[in-house]
This record gives sequence, structure tokens and C-alpha cells, in this order.
Amino acid sequence: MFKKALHFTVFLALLSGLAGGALAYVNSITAPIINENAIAAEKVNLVKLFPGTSEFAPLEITNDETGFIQSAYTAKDAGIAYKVQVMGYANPIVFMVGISNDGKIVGLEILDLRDTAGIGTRVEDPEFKDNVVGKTTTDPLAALSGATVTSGAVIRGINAAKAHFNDSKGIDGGGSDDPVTPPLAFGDPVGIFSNATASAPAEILEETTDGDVITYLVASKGYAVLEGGYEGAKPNVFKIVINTAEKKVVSMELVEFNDTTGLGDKIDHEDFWAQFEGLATDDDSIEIDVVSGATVTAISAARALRGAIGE
Amino acid sequence: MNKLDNFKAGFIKENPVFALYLGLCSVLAISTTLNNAVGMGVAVIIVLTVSNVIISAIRKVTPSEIRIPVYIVVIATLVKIVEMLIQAYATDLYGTLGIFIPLIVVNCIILGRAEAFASKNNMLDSLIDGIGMGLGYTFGLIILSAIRQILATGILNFSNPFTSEMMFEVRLIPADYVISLFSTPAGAFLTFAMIAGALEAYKSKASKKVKEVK
Repeated sequence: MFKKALHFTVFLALLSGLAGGALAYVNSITAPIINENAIAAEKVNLVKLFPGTSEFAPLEITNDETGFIQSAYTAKDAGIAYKVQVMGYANPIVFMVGISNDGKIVGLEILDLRDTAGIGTRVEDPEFKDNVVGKTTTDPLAALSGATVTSGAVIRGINAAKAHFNDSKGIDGGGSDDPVTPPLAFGDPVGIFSNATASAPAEILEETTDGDVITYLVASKGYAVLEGGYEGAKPNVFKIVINTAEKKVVSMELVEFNDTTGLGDKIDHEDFWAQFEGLATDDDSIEIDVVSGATVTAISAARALRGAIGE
Repeated sequence: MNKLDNFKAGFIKENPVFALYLGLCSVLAISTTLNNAVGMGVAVIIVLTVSNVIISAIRKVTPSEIRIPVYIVVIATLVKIVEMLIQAYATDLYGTLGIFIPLIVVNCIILGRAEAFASKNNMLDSLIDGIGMGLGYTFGLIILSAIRQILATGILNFSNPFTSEMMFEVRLIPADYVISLFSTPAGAFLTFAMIAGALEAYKSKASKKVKEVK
């Protein structure tokens, strides 16, 4: 019984050894060709990143903590091209980013992108590429407003490539790992005393006077009440500080937000509040810019101010 | 069974695809273009023939208790070699066949022929059986693929798998009248069922004739 088992083991081991040898031999012949084919297939994209360079060699990536970098190629005397895969909004995104030897991002080629058409696909637009190409490996990159998930994923991938590049070149400070908040996209201006703000008067909840400075808490109907119209919809509440002696708005902030998360809350951005500071309360032509994508909520802020000034 | 009968059996009467219903997974999945069919067919012919010969050669030293693992080792090695060769020399084909090349390992035609034929017959007969069965599989695959490709795209074409150069291309159905259903799995099942049914009808008619003559 034992002898039989030994016989089987030896037989299978011998056969497997032979099989392994045959595989190793064929692999030694085909591996260089397969490698070359892979480079040839990538070369179309590599040349787009580094026009004028024709010599590319695969670069082994060992110190990529993120796991985003799939492969990398050195372009002779020009820089390094990274092929990166990140998870986008719905599907993986594959792209190539080229970094020149002097630490500048020279190109971005999206290879596979299946995110929402018209939103996520905006990372292929010049708006996003121009924002990335030309930056150095130490500059932070901004996500696209309205397509933060897809563009943020791409930026995290680029940051992985940047980190690897900086590491290998000994450059300090690979930029922040997360995409920076996109700048606010402003829409059309709306007058504080225009028709838009007259339709749904704001309600003053609280008023505290401290010398010349009056602090108001104002409830103003936003998207939830005016357009949502569902049961339990509540207005937004703003805190407005006005200096009556100087007849100027001191500051304004959002205290309670009841509109759509992810849209209306865009107004809670320093660039938006900065518009209110110093507005003259005795001038009925003052206006602010609404936030694109959060128009109704922004107008509710304008109404709140009208309500406070109207006092 | 003489050698010619042995060779011919794989085509119609014992066609592995339409008569024995073997190896259908890959057949249904990749039979969308003529190129795929020929590429897959050639890969299967090579693996089937060589594995038949090797298994027949070692049939006397193979302990029958462990014959299945032995067959699997032989077949898997051959498939891996063929896969590496295709990847190196016919990259486009490798791209379209993809996962179905390594899956040849579990293609039941190959293990089936090893068990049913090669382990009991000499090397020459096993070689002939391998080529015959392999050609039968390829033949079935080509018919299915050609029908599906023509119905789904209206075009029948073939390109050199090594250089990707187009060798011939004919449009048989105007682009407005193609039925794209046939490029989907459902189309594969429909086409397959009709061909298998037709073959069955032909076979029962032929056997009736034989009876009448008797």
C-alpha cells in the first residue's frame, strides 16, 4: 500500500517536473516577445505623452503603496509614463500620465472610462486636462466641480504616479494625497432687492443688539420648501451680522441647512460668504452671484439678507 | 474500425460539438467570428493531437488509479504552451479569445478523448483520432461562427492572425438587415439548436434508409 502510494507520488512528481521544464523553456522563448508586444501596444499612447521619443523601456514599480500604478515606462531622455488604474464612480478608470524628467506633468491620456456620460466623462475635456498638464509634481491638483468623484479618482491616481516619481527622483513633498476642493463655480448675479427675493419673504427668528452691531437669525425658504414641497420641509437658517452705524454687512453664515445635500450646501463656501461682507445696507442695487448648481439655495441666502436689512 | 472511418467519425456522426455536445462552453462563447473559430479550432487541434499522442505513449506506465491527474497535467501543460505561443505570435487572437484559451484545459473533448480513446489505443491511432476529432470540433465551430457572423454583421471576413492583415471580406447582407441578436449568447443557443436539430434529422433519415435496405 505504502509502496503504491510512493510509486504514484514519484510518477506524478516526475511528470510535473517534466511539464515544468517544458513550460519554462517555452516561456523563455515567448516572454521577451510578449513583453515587446505589450510595449508596442502601449506605444501608441506613450508617443502621445512623449512626442518625439521612440525608445521606451518598461520600468518595474516596487514602491507604490496605493496599488494604483499598473505599469510604467521610461521614455529615453524625456521622462516616465505611468499607466494607472483607479476606481471611478461606477467602473475602473485606466489612464496614462506622463511626467517629464524636470518634474512636470506633460500629458494625460484617458484609456478606459465608463463613468456617467456628460458628468464623469468631463475628465476627458480640455478643461480638466489643462488643469493637470503643465503642473509640477509638487503642485496640488483640483477636482472638477460637478464631477468630483471621477476627477477625484483620476487625481488620486495621478498623485500615486507623482509620489512614485518624486520618490525615485528624491523630490520632497509629493503634493497632498487628496484632491483640493474645487473653486466655487458662480452663476448669474441676483440683486438682494430684486423680484427673485421678493417672492418668499424671510422670517427673522432672533435679533441681538450689541451697540451698533445687530446679529440676526433669519429663516429663509430654500429649495426644500419652495420646490421640494414635501411634508416637513424646513427653511434654511442664516446668521447675519450688520453694523448699523457703518450701514454695512459684517458677516453672514449658514446655521441650519435643510436643502439637498451635495447641491444646495455648495453655498457653504468661503468664496460665497465673502461676497456679502461689506455690502452696503442702504444701497438697493447690491447683488451677489449665485452658485451654479445651488441657485435656489443661494437665492434663499439673498432673501435672508433682504429680510434682515428690511428690518 | 479502420483508420479512415476513425478519422471521418469526428466530422458528422460523432461530431464532438453537434452530435456529442462536448465542449459547448467555449463553442457558444467564442463563435462570433470566423477568425475566432479558426484560431480556437487550431489551438484545440494542436492540444488534442499532442495530448492524445503523449497519453497514448505513456498509457502502459500510467497507474490507472491516478490517470486523471496525469491527463490533467499533460493537457494543462500543452494548453499553457499553446497560450504562450498565441500570446507571443498572434496577439490580436489572444485578445479576442482571452479566457477561453486557458479554459481549453477543461474542454471535455480533450479529456474525453484521452480517457475514451488514447488510453486504450496505440500512438498512431491516437494521433489520427486527435486530428479527426479536432477537425470535427473546428468544423462545427466554423459553421456556427460563419452563420452567426453573417446574420449578426452581414459580413464574412478572415484576417491573418499573425499579421492582422485582412485576407478576404465579403458583405452578404446589407447593413440595414442584420440581426444583432445572433452575436449575443441567445443567438449562439438558437443557431446551435437549429444545426444540432438538422443534423439529428439527417442522421435518423439516413438510419431509416439503412433499415429499409436491410
